[in-house]
Amino acid sequence: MRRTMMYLPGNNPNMLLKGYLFRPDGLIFDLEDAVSANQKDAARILVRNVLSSQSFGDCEVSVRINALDTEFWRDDLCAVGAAAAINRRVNGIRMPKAESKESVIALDDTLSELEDKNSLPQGHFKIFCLLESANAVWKAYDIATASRRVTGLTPGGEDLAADLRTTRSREESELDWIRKMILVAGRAAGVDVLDAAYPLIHDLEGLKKQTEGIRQLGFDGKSVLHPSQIQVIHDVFTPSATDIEKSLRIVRAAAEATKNGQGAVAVDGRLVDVPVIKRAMYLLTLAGLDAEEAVL
Amino acid sequence: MKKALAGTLESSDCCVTLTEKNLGSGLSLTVSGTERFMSAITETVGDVAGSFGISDVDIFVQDRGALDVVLRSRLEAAILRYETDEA
Repeated sequence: MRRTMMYLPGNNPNMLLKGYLFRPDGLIFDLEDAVSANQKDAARILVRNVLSSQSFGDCEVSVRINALDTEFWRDDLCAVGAAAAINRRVNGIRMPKAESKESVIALDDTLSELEDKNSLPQGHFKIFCLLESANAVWKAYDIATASRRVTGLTPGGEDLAADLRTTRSREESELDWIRKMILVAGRAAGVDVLDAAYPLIHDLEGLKKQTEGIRQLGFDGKSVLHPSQIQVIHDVFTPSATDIEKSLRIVRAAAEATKNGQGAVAVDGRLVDVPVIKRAMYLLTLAGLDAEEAVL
Repeated sequence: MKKALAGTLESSDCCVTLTEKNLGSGLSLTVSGTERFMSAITETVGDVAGSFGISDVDIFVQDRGALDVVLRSRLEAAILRYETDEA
């Protein structure tokens, strides 16, 4: 599950060490925007050492490196590679300003070298692409399919709004089409689609409303800037008791039909086919249940 | 005189300052903030400084409750900055 992926400023020991205690689904150690240019070296060392020496509960662990058009990204990757050699939980790379399939391929090649150098299996590192320009959004499908490592797409926030020659409003209506385009591209490519963070950290009602909107669109989760945002997003993505109960009946009925050699089955008077079963299984996953165990 | 600094005075962090000393005078360490962890800090400073082969510097650690991993990181950053300081 990637309902919540929380950014942790790369030069802040307090957050790097304690962020996982707030139990987001994932952590993003941020070496990019959260770190000023004259502190990149210190942050890189700190992130490498914290990643190497700590466990982070059940959180998925990723690092947002600096963009490929900067002088920093190769050193960032060296630090991540060294950490991953010690702590295999470190396997996510957030790629800012993913502009083209060529840039993803370039990162893919460098990650392959990094895996060899650090005795990691090929494919260890996953890539989460941040689409921060109109050009990147337009090429979202090409970017998502440029490498088998690509696991998720996320729209940019401020950079994207600026590139669209607009500003980020409270409702973010200017990003409506962007979200829909990225959702379709991500689904077509078979990768997760994860929304940008909600920047107004004290406006939890606004966050809830936006999260309900992106969940209805089909998004898998959302980036998080502050621990207070986590529970709000989890609540929106957690299915209701009624939905869980219905999903259990669907999955169990489907399993029973398979066991008896039946091709199709009805639940609550409605024919249950493969998409409905898939949806029910996904919903059980969101509820923290194992669909296969639930059948037993 | 060469000088380098890394870290902050935020909670759970420490600020490490390295200042050049006369040749052959060795390492000296001053700690402020959490004297009760002096022996652990001394051990870590000696360990990291030794691994980088650095000597003839005064090391000043202003501790704000940094864990060992943070102190090691700030020391490493300060040493690397010190080594590239041309002053």
